[in-house]
Amino acid sequence: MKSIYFAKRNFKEILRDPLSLILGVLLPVFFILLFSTISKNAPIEVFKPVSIVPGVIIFGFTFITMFLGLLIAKDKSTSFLTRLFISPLKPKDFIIGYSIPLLPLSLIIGVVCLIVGIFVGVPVSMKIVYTLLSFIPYILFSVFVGIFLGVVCNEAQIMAIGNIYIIASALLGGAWMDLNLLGEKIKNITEILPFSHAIEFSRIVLSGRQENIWIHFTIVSIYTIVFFLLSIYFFMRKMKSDNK
Amino acid sequence: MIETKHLTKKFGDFVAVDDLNLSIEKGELFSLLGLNGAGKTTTIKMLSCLILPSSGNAKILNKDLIKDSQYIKQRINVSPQETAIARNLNVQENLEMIAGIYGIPKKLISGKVEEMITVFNLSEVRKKKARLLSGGMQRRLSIAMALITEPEILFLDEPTLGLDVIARRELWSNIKKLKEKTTIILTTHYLEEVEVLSDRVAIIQKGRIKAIGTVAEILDKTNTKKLEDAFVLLNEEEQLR
Repeated sequence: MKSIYFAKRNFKEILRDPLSLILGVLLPVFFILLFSTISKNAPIEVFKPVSIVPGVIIFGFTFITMFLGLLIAKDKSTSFLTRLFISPLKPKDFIIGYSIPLLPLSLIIGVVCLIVGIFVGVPVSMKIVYTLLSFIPYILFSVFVGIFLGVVCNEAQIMAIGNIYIIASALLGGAWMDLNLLGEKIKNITEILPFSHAIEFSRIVLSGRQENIWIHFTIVSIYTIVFFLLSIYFFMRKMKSDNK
Repeated sequence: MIETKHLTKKFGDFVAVDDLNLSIEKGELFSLLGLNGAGKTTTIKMLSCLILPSSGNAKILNKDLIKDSQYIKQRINVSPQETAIARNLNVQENLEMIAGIYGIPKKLISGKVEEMITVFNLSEVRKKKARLLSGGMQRRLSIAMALITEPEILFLDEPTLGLDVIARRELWSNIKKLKEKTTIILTTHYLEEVEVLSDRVAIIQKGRIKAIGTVAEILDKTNTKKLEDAFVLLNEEEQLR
């Protein structure tokens, strides 16, 4: 229950930053509208609604990582986190308190973009609901990467690393380009990163293609578990480092 | 209420707090007075379970500082040196959040929030975001956030640092009201603050207690008439060593 009060605060902090709304929701919506307009003039496979909509949504979750990382880094730079470290909150309360607010926010991004997707040609069916559920592993991954970055980096470092992360997710995820065009070496790199797998997982679910989704699900889940453990480890280390 | 035994904190070779032995009674307002870097904040950080001592130990509320930190954390609170508030939450939300984090039952929270808002004259700004408050208001909110949990021990780390004269006097008035209900440990390097507020004071230099007692006792011990003279004398003695 204690962590819920902390989670409420984090939810309000993020929502009250107008940049969260612009980057988190409006930018993906803009991209969906832009690429679906292009697709009408240039019938490229990757720009088709069932392809571009999940791709852009996964890209949109990248900003979740940024919001959370910056929030934690800001808390670290003030006495606010010191006050909380003195409070009865335990490490698990911090992890829950920082994670929970991002889950509804991410689902809002997913729902809004899927609704826009319907208007640009995504067929209405139960697959839309399954697609929303398919985002969950990558949402969790984004949250834990955010906690990890927030604990390890300061604000300036997060801005720098965040830019690289956003570009990497945009270019190496294949949200709006065929990864085969990047050449074999870069394609191989994209195979070991989670971005393209998260996109492909959701695309298969939304399109209903008869393909093996488990390889994509497994890779994203492994990354999620790794960053979950890293975020706990580094958060506990941060609390202990203040204890030396 | 608080009893330290040979409490020491080292950062590498630097000894921040050196063999601190003191006892603070229930309801006292005890001041730690010293120059910057004397070890006041480090002492508070140890006594509030934020950092572990390098050696020695302390009993807080008859519990072991190291082994029973979770018990102690539930019953103490701190207003840190820098104002510690959630900047994008308003005054009321900040108070509600801290009350919730300390496990105060939901039905009691609104009553306690009202009480703090009244005591600290925050009613006009209750819906204002904390980042938009003046420095004095932010400091008042920070202390109200420490008090809403009804701590048995309240640590105030340089509570009036950076405040103008009026804001400082207002805060003194608030602190005076708290005396006896709560045991208060105050760090400061303002001599006037110590004279006005403290029941007892410890003058700390380089992590060690140089004098301890009421202001009158310290003046008597140093054969001086003003606390400022006593403080300067004790500092000069240290520099001559």
